[in-house]
Amino acid sequence: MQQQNNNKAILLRERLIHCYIQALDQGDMEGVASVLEAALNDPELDRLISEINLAYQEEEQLISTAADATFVRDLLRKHFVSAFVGDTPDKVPLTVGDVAARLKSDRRVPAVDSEANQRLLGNAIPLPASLSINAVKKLAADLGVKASEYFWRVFRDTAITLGMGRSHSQAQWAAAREEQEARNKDRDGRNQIIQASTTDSEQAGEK
Amino acid sequence: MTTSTSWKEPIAEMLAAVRRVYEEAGLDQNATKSEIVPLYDLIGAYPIRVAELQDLTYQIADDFLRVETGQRIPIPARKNKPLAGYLYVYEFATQFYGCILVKANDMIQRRRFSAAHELGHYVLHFMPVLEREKHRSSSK
Repeated sequence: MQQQNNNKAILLRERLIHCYIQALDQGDMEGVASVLEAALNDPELDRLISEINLAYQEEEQLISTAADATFVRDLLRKHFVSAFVGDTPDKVPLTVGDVAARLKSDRRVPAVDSEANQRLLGNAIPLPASLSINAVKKLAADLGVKASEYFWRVFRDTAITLGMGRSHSQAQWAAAREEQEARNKDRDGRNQIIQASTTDSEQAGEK
Repeated sequence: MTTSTSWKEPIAEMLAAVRRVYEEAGLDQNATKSEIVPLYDLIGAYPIRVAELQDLTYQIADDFLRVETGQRIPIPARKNKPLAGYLYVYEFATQFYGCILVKANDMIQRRRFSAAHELGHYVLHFMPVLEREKHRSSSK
């Protein structure tokens, strides 16, 4: 009986940690607060949260932020397996119907294509993983649904966005081109502000 | 006096990458040599979308991607630093799904340059990681 209660407590703790990470990732302060409240009565949960916070606090640059978040997430997945049971959204393929539903809910379907989108709703055909322009053109031909070129462009953009959203990614990368203000003098000696760009590439690191 | 040839290797690598991108897009590089580069068709060979945002910064990129994907991206302390271009990718379904953001108020030449620059990151820096990962998984 005691063992059973211990297991329940461990399971609950693992789930709370998972919720905490998700709430942090999503900026859900209410979610964070509710886990912290639970930690008031659970020293072990409190200790785990402190470790997670420490990892997050070390984030100052994009590179460390993403890498550390992944590191923490990977550790959690490794050591708290039961908290992640059934949590594999990146394994669930995106379908044509998923995209059509999102287009409809975001009201991004041009009036002229609304009938075409309606036909795609509920379609369970998986999207091609590459989601290249050519792959989407082929998909459109295979589906036999006539719609404007603009519709298929928005369809593809939305499919990519949905894929990004479903990723509980093993890897996230970023690159940025920052602008820098450079102050140059022209030949007349007047100050002239020009926008010069430098390449400041920041790879968020393998997650 | 010796002539250094160290520059030849990276240039050859880049040219090979350009050829690869054209092939992936199903385009004939020679046929388009004298024309404007079909940049958005080349980007479209990969699961990348392009969006143009006014006064792009890390914060604005985060706001946009949060609304679009539901995910928050890590942003550095200099969140309001003006950006010309930004690329964020997630691994999904054994691919890197990404979004290139460019500053909408830049002139067209610069927007194209920014988008091309980010495509370069994707092809030269991110794709090799994915390839290595796939190779590692398949050899397990």
